[in-house]
Parts: sequence; structure tokens; C-alpha cells
Amino acid sequence: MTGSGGTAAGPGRLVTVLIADDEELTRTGLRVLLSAQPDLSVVGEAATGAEVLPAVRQLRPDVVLMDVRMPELDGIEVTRRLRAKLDVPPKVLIITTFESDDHVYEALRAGADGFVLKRSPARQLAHAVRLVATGDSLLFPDAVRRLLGNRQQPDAAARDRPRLTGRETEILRLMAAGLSNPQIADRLTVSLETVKTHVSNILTKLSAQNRTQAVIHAYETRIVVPGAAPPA
Amino acid sequence: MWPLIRPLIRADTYRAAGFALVGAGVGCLLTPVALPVAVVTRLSEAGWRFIVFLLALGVSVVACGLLAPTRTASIRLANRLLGTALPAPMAGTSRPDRATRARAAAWLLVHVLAGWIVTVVAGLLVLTACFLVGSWLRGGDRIQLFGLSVPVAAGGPGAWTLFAAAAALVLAAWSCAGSIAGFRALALALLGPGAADRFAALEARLRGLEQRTELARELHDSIGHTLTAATIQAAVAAELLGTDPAGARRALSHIEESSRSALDDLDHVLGVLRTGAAATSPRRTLADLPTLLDRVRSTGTEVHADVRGDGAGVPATVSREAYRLVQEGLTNVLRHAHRAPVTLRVVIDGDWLTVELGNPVTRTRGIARRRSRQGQGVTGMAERVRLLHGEFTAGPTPGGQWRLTARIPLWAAP
Repeated sequence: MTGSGGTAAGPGRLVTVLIADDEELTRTGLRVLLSAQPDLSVVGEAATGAEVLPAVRQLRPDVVLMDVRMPELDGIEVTRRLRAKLDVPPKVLIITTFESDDHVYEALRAGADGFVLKRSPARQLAHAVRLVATGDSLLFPDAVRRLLGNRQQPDAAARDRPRLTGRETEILRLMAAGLSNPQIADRLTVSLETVKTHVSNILTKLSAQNRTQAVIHAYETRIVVPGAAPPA
Repeated sequence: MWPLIRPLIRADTYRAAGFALVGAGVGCLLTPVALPVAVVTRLSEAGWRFIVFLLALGVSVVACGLLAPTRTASIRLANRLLGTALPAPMAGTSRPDRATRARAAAWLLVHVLAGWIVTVVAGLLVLTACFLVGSWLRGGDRIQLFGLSVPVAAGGPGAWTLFAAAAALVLAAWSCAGSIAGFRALALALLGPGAADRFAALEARLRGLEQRTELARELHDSIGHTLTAATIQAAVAAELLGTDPAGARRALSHIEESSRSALDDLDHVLGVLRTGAAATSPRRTLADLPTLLDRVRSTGTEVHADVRGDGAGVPATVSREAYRLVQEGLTNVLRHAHRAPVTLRVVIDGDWLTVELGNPVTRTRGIARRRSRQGQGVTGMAERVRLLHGEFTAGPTPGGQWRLTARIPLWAAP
């Protein structure tokens, strides 16, 4: 779906994963599929939302692969709690049965780093885990655009649009298109450091916790219009 | 010539005649009620006594027409004989409202009155035709027709009676055929659905739609879920085939189970759609409110509920509508204002039932989105409350709340 995300985790670095899903069959299935990847290691499972926080504290995974719909404590609330209670929260990759699920949108707003369909082929799942672990580019920009494009965009939102500079807006559009920082630097022929500074400023101005939240904000305030062609 | 005599062979003509006869018959049936009144008044003049009799007859017809079963019967009769397609009152709905019953009474009065007129006019014309031809066949006579003494000659010179009789029959047919259009127009105006019927129809349609949507959503969820599980297991089987044949076999048998359960789901839903079994699910009222609130609270949403007054005295229609307003309102809160605390007030006081549902909306953006996405739901609620003669408002308040208020009068329930 995306261009090369780049495995910034590096060859020697193992990405550790915790799988949270209320269904055992899904958990064990995903475990088998992800464990088959040499650079991914499933370090634990959680069968309920309530089990996630203690498990994360104990196992310190890089990525939590989390079902958005779980009884009692759902993926949205768990994402929120991970962000609130931990100094260095793990990356959260939402797994979902349906792409057009309101819960997915809410989870992304709550700070999840990306989402992936449970039915995705194994290599796409693995790619999603790696990409989320590094966090340098938006996961499945097309899917995010579809998710947001299905929503009616409130006009009122355009009024509290934050003041971004022209350069920042340009970079935000490229982020929404799924480009990583090096790719953006390449495209704009500036240094990687400059891009990183811009991205960090954008996140601050939008009070976003990650690229995904920044992009959602960009869509909601129409800095980027869903359905419009991505910048060439 | 043909258009002139066409009414003679049209079924509508004879249906109209039958309809008129029924009206006249109803008048006759009520005569035993009206007659004693005229006798008891002991008026000396016969003319006055007749007028009193007619008045008493009119009153008894109206009284009879006010009864709900009469209205139902009238609608059935009109649909059968006049060919109208009036919706019959649905079984199990409450009594029709006052205006509807008054219209039905007016209809019965029209039916009896016009029934008599048409019966007498058409009957006299038919009798005239019979007399004329009869006298001629018996060899001529002098007959009395409408105060005229008409000589009917025997043989050829009296053959004019045949034409006169035919003309009388055509006129009779025309009077019946002409009356049916008037009957139809009046039936639509006087027997058409009242507020109660319209509300019940709307309620039933809404319930049907709700159930279908719910069913579709459930099916989508369960099938999507099962297919996802099967997809994952298929990937697992492929992964394990070389290294762990037993594991691969387990994954395959999971796929078999999942697919079977998906098919069972489909079977179940198709069965429900075919038999309409879902339509028999009970309709909830205010008495079910505590269960609803418990369910909402179990999702982690705070609900401050304040229910005052005696729900037992509330008409069933109003009670059901109140429950549904609360249910839809809470669903909207759950959907759009994630875990915002909700305040609910249900007050039954004197002649009014008031439902107030409020929850804080922190951002204007939230309000804007709610407005656009809830548009249809709110319109539906407003429409149903209006049909119950109530007042409905929903929207953001200056205090940063989203508030839904409905006031429904208990007395005007259809």
C-alpha cells in the first residue's frame, strides 16, 4: 500500500509485540504469523483490555497489536490509558475486522499510531508492525484517507485551523500521503534535520502525539482534503 | 348510443346500488330506535312527528357512527364496494381520536342519507319500467305514474313503453353510476387515516426498519468476524504446513468450523426474514427504562436519571414513544459523545409527560458533527412527537450542553 517504509529498526534490532484480542483463535493465529518473521517477536498476549496495561508494564513491548473492540475495556480506552499512565508508551497498532469502523477512528484520535485489517496478508501485517515501530511514516495513507473521507467534515472546524507556515502545510500534505522524513527531505531537497524540525513543529502546533493524529487533524481542518489526489 | 347505455353493464353500477342499499338498510335497522321517540313526543301534527322521527334517526346514526367498530366496518365496505384503498385501522392500536371518529360518524350519516336517495330514485325508475312493460303485455291499461294518469294501448301503439322502460333503466343505472364517484371522494375525506392510524403506521414501519437494520448490522458483524477468523487461520495453515503439520491441520479444522458457523448465521437470518419472526419482539415502554439505563451504565457512561411520577397512568403509545426517545437519545450520546455523563429527566405531571436528555459537548466541532449526522434521527423523533401533539426540541444550549426535550400531552394520545 505504501512505498518502502524503511525498516529503521535495523537488522540487529528485534521488534517486540504484545497481542491484545479477546479471541483466542485470533491471538494464536497472529502470534504464529508474526513469529514467522525473523525480526518480530511476540512477547505476550492479553485476552482483555484490562490485562494490557499490566502486561505492557511488565514486558515493555515496542508495539501493542490491539483489537479495537473488546468487551468491558475497548481498544480506544486502553490506548488512552497507555498514553496517560506511561512515560514512554508503546506504539499502538489497532487491528480491526472492518475498515469503516467508527471505533477505529476514535482509537486513532485517542492516539493509536495506525490500524490494520485483521484479514491482511501476513507480510502486510508484519510491514504494519515494523512501520508503526519506527513511526517515521504514516501507515496505509490510502486507508486513512478512506476512513476520514467517509466522514462529513464539519465546516466549523475550518475556523479553528491552526496557523501553519506554507512549508509546514506542504510537509503535512506529504505526511498525509505517507512519505517518511527522508522521503520528504528528498522531495523538497532540504536536509533531514530540517524536515524533522518541521515535523516536530507541526505536531506541537496541532497538539498531536504522532503523525497519524497530525494527519487526522489535517483532514478534519481541511488542510488536506480527503479524496483529493495526493501531491505528485 | 353505446356510452349512454354503458353504465347498465358496468360492475361499478351494481356495486354502487349494493352500497346504497346497505346505507338504506342501516337506516331501516335504526328505525326501531327512532320510531318510539317520535311516538312518545305525542305531537298532534303528523308532519312534526315525522320531523322528530328524522332527527332521532339522524342522532342514532351519528351515535352509531362514533363507535370504532363501525368505522372499521365502513372502511371494509368502502374498500369492497367502492374500490377505495383505505388503510384499515391496525389491530391492537388504541381507539381513533375524536376528529377521526367524528368524520366516521359524518360518513355514516352521508351513507344512510345518500343511500336512501339513490335507492328510492333508482328503485322508482326500475319499478316504472316494470309497470310500463307489464301493462302493455297485459293488453293495455291506464296507469298512475308520478301523479300522472298514463294510458297504455295494447299492441303496436303501446310499444313506446318498451323505449320508455329502457330509458328508465338507463336513468337508474346512471344515477347509481353517478353516485359512486361522489361516494368515493367522500370516503377518502371522511374515512381516511386519522392521526392515530398514521402514527401507528409510522411506528410499525419504523419498527420494521429498525429491525431490518439491526439484523443487517448483526449479520455483517458476525459474518465479517467469522470470515476474518477463517482468513487468519488459512494464513496460519499455510505458514505451518511444512514445519508443523499438526498445527496446520488444527488451523484447517478451525476454518471448517468458522465457515460452518457463518453459514448457520446466514441460515438463521434468512429464516427470520422469511417468517418475519423478529416482528413479534415486544415493544418496550417506560417500565423497561431501568433495564435500558443499566445497560447504558455498563458501558461506562454515567447516567444521572431522575424519573418522577406514575408511569402506570401513561397511555401505551406515549409510554412507548418516551422509551424510544430515551433509547435513541442515549444511543446518540454513546455514539457521538464518548462516555460523556448524561442527565435524564422523565417527569409525568398532570397532563404532560416530559423527557429531557442532556450531555455536555466540549467542542463546537462536536456539536456540528452531531447536528449533521443525527439529522435524520432527530427529524424522526420530532415527527413522532408532533403526531402525538407534543413539542420537541433538540440542539446545543448556550451552556455547552446538547439537550433534547420532548413534551407529550397525555390527554391527546390517539
